[in-house]
Amino acid sequence: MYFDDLTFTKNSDLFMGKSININDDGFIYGNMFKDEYKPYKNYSVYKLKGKTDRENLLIKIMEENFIVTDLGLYLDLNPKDLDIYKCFKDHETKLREYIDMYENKYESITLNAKKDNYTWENGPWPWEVDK
Amino acid sequence: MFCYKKMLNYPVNIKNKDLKMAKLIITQLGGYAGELSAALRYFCQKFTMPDDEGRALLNDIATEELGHVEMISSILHGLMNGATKEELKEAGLDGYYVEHGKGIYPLNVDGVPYSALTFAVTGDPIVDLMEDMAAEEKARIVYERLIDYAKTDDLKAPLLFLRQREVVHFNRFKDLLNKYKTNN
Repeated sequence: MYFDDLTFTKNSDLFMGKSININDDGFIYGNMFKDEYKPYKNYSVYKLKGKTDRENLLIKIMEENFIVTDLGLYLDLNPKDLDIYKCFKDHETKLREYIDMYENKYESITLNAKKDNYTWENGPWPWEVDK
Repeated sequence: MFCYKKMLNYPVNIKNKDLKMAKLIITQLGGYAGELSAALRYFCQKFTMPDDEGRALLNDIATEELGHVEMISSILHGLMNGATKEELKEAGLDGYYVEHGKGIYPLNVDGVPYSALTFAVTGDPIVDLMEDMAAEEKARIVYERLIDYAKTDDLKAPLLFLRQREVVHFNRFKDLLNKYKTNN
């Protein structure tokens, strides 16, 4: 199974980090840009916590992947914004590092993972559930 | 081309079956405001965007939406997990079960199979972008109503995430539309 029993904790702290536009916690908000975040009613965002080291590393990979995706959309239209590009590059590096770290210890996330044997078919696949 | 990563855009970990919610959420797979419609809309429109910024944005949002198709499908799979055929019947999903078992098949909330008629491709970037902004708003309002009906955090969390992505995509399409309008 992909996640055993993920903990969703309501995050009442709406502090979004230091930099002017970027929300350091953007992943759990679904939006990297503070001034564009639109809450729905009084629903809070959720902090995510896995049960194992594997699950928590996976969450970090998803987070870095999200940051690169969302900043990427902005950079598609604003490629000359060097501050955002620097942030994009830092997280892109982290994403690669975390994926390497994960694939060294656990199953492949990418087809071209460095493995001695072909193990791509090994789960858990993201939609797999327990029962 | 597309390159699969063995993960979702945001974690999905549905803990309890909920067939009533599955029957509603399936519309975000196969309905007019669904993720499949979104992915295909932007994918098809990218070919007639007039510059690199437009091509990049439509391409990248289409790719993200394909990931959302997988998220919604994973949610549905989790919500139907462990359900008996009696429970499916009770939830009004006996017809679904007869044809699809517990497979994932794109339908709207009224049980109509997915149709490409849920979106338009006009070949005109201004008109397409206005369609895209409307589509993001339609998807946002549907997610809000689904969130209202969702009872548990494991379901609210991914729905809130997907709703916020509609807000972000709306803003990016608006930025691009404004650029084209200014240049024309």
